[in-house]
Amino acid sequence: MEKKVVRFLRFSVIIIVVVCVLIFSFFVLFMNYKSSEAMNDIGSVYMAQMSDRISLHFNTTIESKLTGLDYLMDRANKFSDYESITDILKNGAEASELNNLAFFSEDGKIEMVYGDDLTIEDPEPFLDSLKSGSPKIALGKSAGKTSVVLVGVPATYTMKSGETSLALVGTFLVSSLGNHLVLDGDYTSVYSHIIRRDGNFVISSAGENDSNYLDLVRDYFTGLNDKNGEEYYTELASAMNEGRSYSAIFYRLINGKKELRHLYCTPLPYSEWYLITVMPYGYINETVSHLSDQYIFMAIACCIIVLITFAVIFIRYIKISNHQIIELDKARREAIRATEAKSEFLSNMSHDIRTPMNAIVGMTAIATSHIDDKQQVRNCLRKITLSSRHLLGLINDVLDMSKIESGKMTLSVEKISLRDIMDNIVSIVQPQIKEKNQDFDIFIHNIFAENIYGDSVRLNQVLINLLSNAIKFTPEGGKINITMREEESPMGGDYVRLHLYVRDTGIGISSDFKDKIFESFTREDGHRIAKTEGTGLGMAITKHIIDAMGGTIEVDSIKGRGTEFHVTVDMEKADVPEMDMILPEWNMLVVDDDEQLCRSAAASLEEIGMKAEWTLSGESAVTMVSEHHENHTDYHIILLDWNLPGMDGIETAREIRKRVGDDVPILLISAYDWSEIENEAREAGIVGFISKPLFKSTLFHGLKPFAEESKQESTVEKTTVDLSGRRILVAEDNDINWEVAEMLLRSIGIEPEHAENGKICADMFGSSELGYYDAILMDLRMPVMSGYEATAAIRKMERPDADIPIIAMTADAFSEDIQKCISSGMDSHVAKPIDAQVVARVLEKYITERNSRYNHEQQI
Amino acid sequence: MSNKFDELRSLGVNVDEGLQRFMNNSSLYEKMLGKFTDNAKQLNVLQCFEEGDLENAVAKAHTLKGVTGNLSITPLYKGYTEIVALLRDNKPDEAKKILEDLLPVQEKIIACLEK
Repeated sequence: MEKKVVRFLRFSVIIIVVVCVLIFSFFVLFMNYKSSEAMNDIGSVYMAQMSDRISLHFNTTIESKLTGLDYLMDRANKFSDYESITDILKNGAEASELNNLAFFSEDGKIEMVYGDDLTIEDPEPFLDSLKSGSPKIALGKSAGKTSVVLVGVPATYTMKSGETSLALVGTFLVSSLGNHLVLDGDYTSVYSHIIRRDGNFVISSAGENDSNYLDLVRDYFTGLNDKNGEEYYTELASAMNEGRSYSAIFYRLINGKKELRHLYCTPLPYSEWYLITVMPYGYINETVSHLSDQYIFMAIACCIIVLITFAVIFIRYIKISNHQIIELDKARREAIRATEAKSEFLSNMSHDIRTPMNAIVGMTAIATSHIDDKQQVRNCLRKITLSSRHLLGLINDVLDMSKIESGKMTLSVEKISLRDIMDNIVSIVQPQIKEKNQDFDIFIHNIFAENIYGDSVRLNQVLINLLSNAIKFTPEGGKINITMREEESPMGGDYVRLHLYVRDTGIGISSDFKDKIFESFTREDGHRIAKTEGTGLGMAITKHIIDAMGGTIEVDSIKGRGTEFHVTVDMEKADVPEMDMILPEWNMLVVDDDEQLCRSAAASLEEIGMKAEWTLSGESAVTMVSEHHENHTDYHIILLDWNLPGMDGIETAREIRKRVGDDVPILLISAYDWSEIENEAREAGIVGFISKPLFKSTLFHGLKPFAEESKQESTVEKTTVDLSGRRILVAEDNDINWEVAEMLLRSIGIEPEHAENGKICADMFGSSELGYYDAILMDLRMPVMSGYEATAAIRKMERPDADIPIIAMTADAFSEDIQKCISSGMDSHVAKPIDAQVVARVLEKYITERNSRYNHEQQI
Repeated sequence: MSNKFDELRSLGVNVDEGLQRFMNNSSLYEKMLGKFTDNAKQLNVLQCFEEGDLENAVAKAHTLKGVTGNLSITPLYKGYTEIVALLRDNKPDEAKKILEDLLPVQEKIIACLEK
């Protein structure tokens, strides 16, 4: 596949390069051809113009000479005698700078008028032309050596010899003609010659040594297209014969080197002469070749730019397609792995499902066959329950996961209380933790929004998944804790960022597996894990739920040391129509070994109107309580952690009770189910329990009973008190109240006796047998004698049981009344309307106390 | 009988709490409520006010507070609680005013009980 692509790419690149090079080469060649063609055309036009100018010049020169001759003849014609005519002609020839002047006879005889002797070369055409009455020029020699141009006009004069002349011929120097025409390229590199039809030079410039130009053409010219000198020669000669112009480009051999030249040949008037104009192509060629160099350069540059562009596009494309190929490959591998994982999961699952299913089937069979053996059936049912619960868990996970994977999971957002969630979780995981004897703790800090909008079921699921994993993978005696913390959310004031940490000191997770932990159907390999039940879906479900909530989950773990999961999620705050959570301004003492917990609990207590101090150990708590007691600034309530290092909660409570008595209520705070330690705790003087975590509302609801009825102990207590057979004297003037009291007391087995007022009460007690009554319930306001007076009277009696417990029964709950009760010698008081539980408890307390004291004294 | 209880409920008496206190013995509860009517007539707190005998007024109001509390006649219990508190604070005028407001309620409840 990859090879194919590479081959294709290589092929494409080559094709593109070749096409580019071909196109640009063609372009360059074509342009070169076109430009040289254009240069030739331009050259031809230029040469023609040049030749025309020179031939015009030539024409003008000849015509001026002819006009001069005509003028001479006009003057001469005024005379008829030979002498006068020749004189005028002589003078005129001198004046018009003619070299010679002569008469030509019809047979070509020359009779000199002025200047040296004259000979004519090639006289036939000259004479023929004159005979036909046209002026003509020809080349001749003066005095046998100086080359002159002969200009002849038809004229009939009587010559010296008596003959009639054919023409009058004037001459001028060839060199002066040359100068006049500026044939030599002094200012340009163009030069011209004038030749005769036979190729002999009339005037040669640029130092041509050969005498015949046509011979020169034949010998030294070579053509562009293998044309040789001979062909040029023929072309030129025929053009000359026909009297046409001729233009050609050729190479001229000079000193063995070829030079490009342009030749233009045109016939000159009044003569058998031809003007040859030659332009060396050197400089024009330079321009052209410079131009074509530029073309080539441009073409190469364009070619390179196009190629580079192609290359860049190709490379980009290759990169993208490579990336796609890699992605594709990854996706394919992932798909394969997912399939493998699923099939592995299925085989594991079928085993996992079959095991509890087999247990259920087997146990059902056993139960059926032992239907009469109650013990056996119960045992079987218990096992069936366990197995079916396990099976249900498995199926729930699988269904949940398939729901998530098909994208059908939705969150049902409602108002939830973090406190309820934590309470719920604690109660769910407690049995498992207790079973594995693990150390469990809960911390909360900075919870400023207890109520939020969220899906409580899903949040619970997340926490339970994390916690049950922690429990599952932490050995017995290990530590597990959960921390909840809030901070400002970046999403704004309506939101709060909730952090949840679940830490354990379990077996940890290998770093390889850490990356895969949130994927479906994965479980770390290894002996330890193989023993642990589970679908491997829990973490995937957890991750999906947190994703759906828009949160994140991170895992930090060291193999063999422990694991921490950290969930961060932003939740909308629920506006809480919170009732006024305000309690009296009591001094509280919080004792816990976790400083964070102490601080956050103290802050929460202060928020609900209390004053809080805290300390980290039982020992220091005892010291602090003692000091406060000595300063008569007793704490109102002490919150004591059960699980303290060193002196634990119960020991601390016991010590506090020993030092400062029973007045200060001590509440135990615990993340555990306290049912097992309750009895021990109560014996140690603990009056109630508050479950961790200590949310503000937890504290408020836990402490409220003490504020409402500071005399009543925690409502948690519902102990049944055995007071049957006890005799109680009830001093109560009101019938209804008596009836109520009687009925209540009888309901808990007490024998009440009625005294209508204080006086009767005191009398009845005074006349009773020693120890007949166990206690007295005393109404305070009675006719004849009040409760206070009756109590004082009884206490004054000289009998050993005068210290009988007297408990005030009053509708007044004012502290001054209570103070008065105590100062008049009563032991305690209960409020009306009467609560059987409260009365029973108070009675029991004082009766048992007194009895023990009494028995003790008797023994002595 | 249950009609009477319903009527008492509508007058604010916490019949259920009362019954609970009487161990769900409704006849006993009814008997006690009957006794209360006698009690209430004997203990004329208003008369004490008019005679200027505030000490007696406290005593009587106190007794009524205890009784109404035990019988869960909540409106009267609340009223007498307040009266006792005000008398203790030496605010007899305010106490009397509350009593005057309270007596029509008491009459209604007694009327209901005497049916």
